[in-house]
Amino acid sequence: MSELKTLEARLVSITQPRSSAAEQYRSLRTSLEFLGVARPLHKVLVTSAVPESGKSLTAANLALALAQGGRATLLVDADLRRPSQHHLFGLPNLTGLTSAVTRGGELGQYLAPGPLAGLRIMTSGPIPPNPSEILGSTAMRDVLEQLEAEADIIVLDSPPVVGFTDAVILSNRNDGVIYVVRAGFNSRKADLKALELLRQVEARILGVVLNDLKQPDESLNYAYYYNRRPAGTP
Amino acid sequence: MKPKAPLVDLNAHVLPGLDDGIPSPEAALKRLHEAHADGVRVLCAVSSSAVSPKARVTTAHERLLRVAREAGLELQIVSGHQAALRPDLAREFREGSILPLGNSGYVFVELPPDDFPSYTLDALYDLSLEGTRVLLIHPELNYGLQKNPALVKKLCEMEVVGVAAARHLRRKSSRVAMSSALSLIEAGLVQAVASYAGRTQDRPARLTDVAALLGRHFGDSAVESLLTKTPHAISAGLPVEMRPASRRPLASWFSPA
Ligand SMILES: Nc1ncnc2c1ncn2[C@@H]1O[C@H](COP(=O)(O)OP(=O)(O)OP(=O)(O)O)[C@@H](O)[C@H]1O
Ligand SMILES: [Mg+2]
Repeated sequence: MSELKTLEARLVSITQPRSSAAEQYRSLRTSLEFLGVARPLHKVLVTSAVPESGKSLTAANLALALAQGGRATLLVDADLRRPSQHHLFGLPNLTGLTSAVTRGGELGQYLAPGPLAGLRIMTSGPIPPNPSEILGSTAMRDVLEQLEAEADIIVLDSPPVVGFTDAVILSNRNDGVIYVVRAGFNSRKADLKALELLRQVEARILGVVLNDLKQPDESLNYAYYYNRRPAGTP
Repeated sequence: MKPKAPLVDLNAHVLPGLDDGIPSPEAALKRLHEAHADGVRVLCAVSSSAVSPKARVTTAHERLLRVAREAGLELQIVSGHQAALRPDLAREFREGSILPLGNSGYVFVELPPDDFPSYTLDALYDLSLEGTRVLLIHPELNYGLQKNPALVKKLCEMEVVGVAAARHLRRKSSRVAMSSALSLIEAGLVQAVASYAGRTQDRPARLTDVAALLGRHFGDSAVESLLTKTPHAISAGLPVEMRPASRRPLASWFSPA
């Protein structure tokens, strides 16, 4: 089963810590820490309007950067539509978030150790027929609450906002949302709609990550723009 | 492009004396030779949980191993159940009356042919909560799936892996089964092909003879993934990424539908 252990090369925060991409994820961490001063950030949701924008990669690299910065970090794959953290980290995903929500029991059994000491990962678990029902359940709320005791910060991966209610449901149960836009994807219309949906549930949008901005001499490009409003304003 | 050894045959009904399998160890050995000649080096000998309790599977498996060893066949043989869909599959599994495929953690489930019962998705989800991964054997035979693409999509999302029977991809097969198998490959539910070998002549232990048809419809890399890569991953207990196969533009000309 050696293949299960392979780390995805695109986890640059750990595979190429000196790359400019990794540097960008560290800046994202710094911005989060800055925003967290005014109002604590325990649970952060990463989402986007459309599929394939880089939510999962952003969530994973951010979680790694946070752990590298010495924070006890938990990465939770709450994308029950197309979960991928287990592929990125080479984990079996026989149990995970859905097992915790559906079966209950001690949460530690559903947490896998990450590649860094400060990072633990809760993969999605088996995919239920009705993901939004599970994510919206009181059992899910209880699990999220209990998880808070397990780490300084929790990063949640999620499905795209347009097309599923999952991310909107989740945004309401988190302290803030990191919104990912992929350069060249022309998702403007979808973005406006997604931001409107998030605003309707009063989600706190922490900032927008502009992913995959083409720059010369970089195989893996990444850039971010950040919400420059003073910390604490919604 | 014909796939080469070592191949994995995920589902062959060759346990001697069990259900629709082979009557005698000698007849079973013939199928094993056939599989080996086709390039198979790992073979999953399967029987239905409804008719073959665990103990009988274990005994038949041992007999099969013995004849293979005596014949000097270089073939790894694992065994498992094919569980008929029921609402309480999870409990049956927990109680040990359903055997997974070797130690892969995958469990074969068979849908009833003409029905897609309303409890199906929940039963499969419950089974996966037992820490298993679910395989559906010949989903191309299920009428409910043929009629309702939304169910196919749902199963793909749940990462339930369909395994088509090679016999439905041969010219002699029923047109409905073949076109259904091809659409399920295109939809991404069917990710692998197994021989589904059995006693009768139309169920040989062969896989590679369907490569040409698959290649014509989906191209070489799909053949590689359906006949080689995914079966290997499954037998090694690794997760399968659900990927739809796109039809080659001209394939529709050859399509049996
Ligand atoms: N900056 C980047 N540079 C190179 N490849 C990238 C970049 N961002 C994302 N990708 C690739 O694009 C694909 C989609 O990325 P990812 O899985 O992170 O997106 P996602 O928004 O989580 O998608 P989904 O909606 O399917 O969950 C992956 O193959 C990923 O490796
Ligand atoms: Mg994702």
